[in-house]
Amino acid sequence: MSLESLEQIKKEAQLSFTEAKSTAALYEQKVRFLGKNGLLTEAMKKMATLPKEEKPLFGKAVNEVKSYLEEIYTQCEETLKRAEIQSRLSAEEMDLTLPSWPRELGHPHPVQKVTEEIFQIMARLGYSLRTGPIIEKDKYNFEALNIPADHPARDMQDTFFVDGMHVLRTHTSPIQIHSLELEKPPLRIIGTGGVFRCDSDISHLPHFHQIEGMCVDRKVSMADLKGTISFFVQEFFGSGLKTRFRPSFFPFTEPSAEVDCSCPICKGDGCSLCKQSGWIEIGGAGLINPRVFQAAGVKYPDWQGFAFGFGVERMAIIKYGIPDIRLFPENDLRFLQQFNK
Amino acid sequence: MKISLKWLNEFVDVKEYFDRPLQLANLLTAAGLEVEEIHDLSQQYRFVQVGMILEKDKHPDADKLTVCKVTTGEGIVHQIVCGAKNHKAQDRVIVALPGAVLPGNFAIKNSVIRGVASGGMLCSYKELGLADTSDGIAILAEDAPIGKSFADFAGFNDVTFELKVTPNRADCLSHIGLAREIACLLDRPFKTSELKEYSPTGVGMDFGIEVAAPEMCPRYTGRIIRGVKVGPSPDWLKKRLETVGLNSINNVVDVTNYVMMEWGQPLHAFDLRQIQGGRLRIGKAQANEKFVTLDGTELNLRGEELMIQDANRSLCMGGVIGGKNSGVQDDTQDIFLEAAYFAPQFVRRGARNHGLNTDSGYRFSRGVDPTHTIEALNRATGLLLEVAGGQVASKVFEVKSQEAVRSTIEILPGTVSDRLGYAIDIAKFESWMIRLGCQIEKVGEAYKIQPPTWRFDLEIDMDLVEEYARLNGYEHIPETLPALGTPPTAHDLGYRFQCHMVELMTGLGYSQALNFAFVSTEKQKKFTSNMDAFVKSGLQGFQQPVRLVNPLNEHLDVMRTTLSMGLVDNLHHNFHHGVEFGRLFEIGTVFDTVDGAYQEKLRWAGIAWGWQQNLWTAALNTPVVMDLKRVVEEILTTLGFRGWQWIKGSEVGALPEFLHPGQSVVLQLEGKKIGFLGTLHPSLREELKVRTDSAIFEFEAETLLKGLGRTQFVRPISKFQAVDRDLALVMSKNLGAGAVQQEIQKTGGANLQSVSVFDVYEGDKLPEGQKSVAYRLRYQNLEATLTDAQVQESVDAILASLKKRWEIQVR
Repeated sequence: MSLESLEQIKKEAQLSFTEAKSTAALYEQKVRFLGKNGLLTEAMKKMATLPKEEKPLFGKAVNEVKSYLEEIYTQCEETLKRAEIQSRLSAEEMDLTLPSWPRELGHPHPVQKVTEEIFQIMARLGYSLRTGPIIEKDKYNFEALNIPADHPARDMQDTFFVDGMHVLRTHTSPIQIHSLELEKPPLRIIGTGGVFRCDSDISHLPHFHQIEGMCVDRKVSMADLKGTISFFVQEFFGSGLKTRFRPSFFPFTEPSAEVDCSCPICKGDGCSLCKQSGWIEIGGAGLINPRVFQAAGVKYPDWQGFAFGFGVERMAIIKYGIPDIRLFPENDLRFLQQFNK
Repeated sequence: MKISLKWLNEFVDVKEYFDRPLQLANLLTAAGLEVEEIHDLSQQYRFVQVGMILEKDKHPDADKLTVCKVTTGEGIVHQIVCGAKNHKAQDRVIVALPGAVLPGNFAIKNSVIRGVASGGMLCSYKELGLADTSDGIAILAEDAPIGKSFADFAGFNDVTFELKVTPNRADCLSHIGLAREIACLLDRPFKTSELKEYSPTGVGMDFGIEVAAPEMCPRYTGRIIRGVKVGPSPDWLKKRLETVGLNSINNVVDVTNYVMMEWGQPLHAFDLRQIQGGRLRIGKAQANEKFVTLDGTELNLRGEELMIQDANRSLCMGGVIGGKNSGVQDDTQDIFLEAAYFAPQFVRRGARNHGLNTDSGYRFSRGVDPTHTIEALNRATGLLLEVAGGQVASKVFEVKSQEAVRSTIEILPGTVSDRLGYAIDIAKFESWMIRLGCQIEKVGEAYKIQPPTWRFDLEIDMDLVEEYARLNGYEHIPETLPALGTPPTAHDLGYRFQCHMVELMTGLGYSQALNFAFVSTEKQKKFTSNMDAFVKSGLQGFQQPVRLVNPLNEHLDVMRTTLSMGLVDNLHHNFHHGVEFGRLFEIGTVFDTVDGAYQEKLRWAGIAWGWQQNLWTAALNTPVVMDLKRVVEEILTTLGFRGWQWIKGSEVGALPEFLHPGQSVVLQLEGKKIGFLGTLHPSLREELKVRTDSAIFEFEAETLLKGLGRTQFVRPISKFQAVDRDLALVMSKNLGAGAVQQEIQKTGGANLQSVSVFDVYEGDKLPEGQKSVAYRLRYQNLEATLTDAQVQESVDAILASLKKRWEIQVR
């Protein structure tokens, strides 16, 4: 082994490294020259056979060649790696404008969506949600709400009868009575669920949904009621919309009011939704009739209260522009898919 | 109720509103009397005038047509082609000029008829919507004023309101009543004219009235009029009734209707000939008595109806409808005219029980002012004598058991301010109460207020609070928020569950259905025919379906006992509207009768059909039922449940018939079966023509609700490596892999963390009737790395147990 042959190895190795076409081929060359049994290592081993005085010189030369070659290797490896990742990237190019994996989220029913929206708004004012039975005693659906038998107010609601004593509730107001009986005032509740009327045409469903609120406290006024609904209207339909009360009649409230809000579509300028009036009727409200308190065993005027109610489908129709009430019970996915959580 | 402004104007001055009726309508609406529609009757006869034919010539090109020169005023001449035969020159006619739009949306334009220009139309009464048949054009009297608008000429210059009267305001169901309200609102005088009183002339008669049920009829008045001539009413009477939506019958009936519309007091005229025994008795009907109403309907009376009877029979259902046996006939000469006050609840009950909707019943059941019977009687008498002749033949009979005295209401002005939320003006309060017709008396700070007899609805102080608010204007109510003094309470658990489930299910790709709670008895019976199977699967509520007494129709006559039927309907609807794959769920109530009590239970159900097709990626084609099962298991996990069991349908014994018997399971949660999951039966799919794989589940929500309230504590995570062992086990094809998995879990010991299935093989390499299921067992310990020996000990125990129980071998 001579310094000349060492120089030969260096040249050969340098050439092989620079000519390698891939990192794998490069690595093979590295093993060939620099590996455990590589040519350079073999050269090192032969150092033992050299005369003592030549050893230091030769050893130094081997080390120089080794570190030189390692540097060359690193350079070549980097170049090759860069090229390889480039070609991999272009090979892996994918058309991401293609439609994505078709697994969509499900959709809430608009009745659910509107109910939840309303109750989330009211929950911020301290209202808690209540439900109640659908098959309701006459007492809860009518009597306790100041609608005695043989009273013309019964004509206001076409009733489905289950037997002489029970009806399918015609409104969610019985929930008020259950709550007044079971819980101690002060109370702030939102009652919701399905209600039933013997009525079916293009604007009425026999089974629809209501949501209503009741606030019972030591001192409650019409102004409190109007302020509460006004807050709700602006949260639900949009800020800046006005709330209007019109005198009306409900047996369970006195005074009673029809509630209008400025039309959310035209903001009060007049459009086809509001029939050019600028106002949309959204529900009914009033101060709880003392007779209702009496029937539920709550002492008036020690306790006073207000109540209000909305039709859920109607709210959805107004808010989302639903063209036909018959879409609600159909559960057509093409309709449901338009509502998102 | 229809209101005529002209009629109203007789009792309160509303002349200025004829030109701007909307303003009056808004005033009424703001006072709680909603005007739903305004009709200006003159509008429908715009461009229709009285004219005179100057010349009549033959049409040069048509035998049946004439060409007329018609004038509608000095120097104004129209050429009109006319197809009628009954006209001649100098006739006064009704001319519709271009611009007119006649009933039926028939627009009049300038036109050319067979080459001759025609600038209008000569009208028949039929074309004007005033008659059903036509015998040519209308020829008016010779003195009909040429050029006058037809609306004015014929008295169609009125405006009517369609008024929505709430049940508490029966006092506004008449022109006088509404006029009184308007007088109050506008602070104008309410005009009443003195009514003439009549004393009997001619021969008297022995006639008696007995009120046997005074609580039902606190006041009964009437009088005999003889010698009336029944016939058509004069035009003014007919027209006025038509204006407010009533048909003219004959002069006697028309007068009673007229007075009802004016005074709000329903009247009834009996043919005196038919009152047998010379007396009337006002009392209850007999049970099972037959009574034929004047429109010929035979009623079977219950015995609680209030009847007007003679010595032998019932003549009239008091306040509701007259009898066929005693009504006014064409040849009636003598009548008994009744004006009574019947108590509202009895009238309403009678009318309702027999499904009778009459104007009279409507008013009595809402409440008629009891103090006006005699005035109404006198008003009707005067009108009768005018339009039907005859003479008053008796005094006014009056039987009165109750004075109409209103009790006073005590109210503090402070109460009004408190309830309304703003300080009221006391002077205004007093003034409004007086304008309403109340008697007021001030006692210290308080007022004692006696409402007028016609305001039945004013009974307690809150009623007066509303009156003040209404009259002062609801727009003056400010907006405030009540203070919240106590912490809010918890939400209803069932609703929270529903919201939570909607959140989760929509996240898993399922959309929410809400179906009607009632269905068809017949359909439901068929769907749930194998009721035993529902019960065996863990669903409850199939004892006695809840039927409706008065369903809308036979498709919605019973409360649902299952959610599945509605979802299958939804699948059918969607599939046949082009939605070929879909995922739906419902959280809903089902109904049952248990030991005579109604029971409502919350259920959770879902349906899945098909997979999206035509994908650019590989098609999804795993069985749909597995997608459904995935969703159920994800929900169970999310709700914090572990260790539920799926039991093969074959082991449960019976399955609902709409399920595929070989692809159905029952879910057992916390030791309780709660419902089924499975593929829809191919026969049902065939019947529905749903050509795609479909699956369904339905569970009771009760057990699931428990998951909602539980706090799930965090489990520690091991720092030591996990060890996996795979076991391919050969077992009978009929054995559920789930049961084996459960057994492994049970016998595996504390270090066995999880068991999953990673392969299933059935085929020739195995003995007949066998399958191989490969399970991956993951072991891990919290304290140390597990040794092979520890793991092997567990595996041995598992294999021993499986062998003992099912003869299972390692493959």
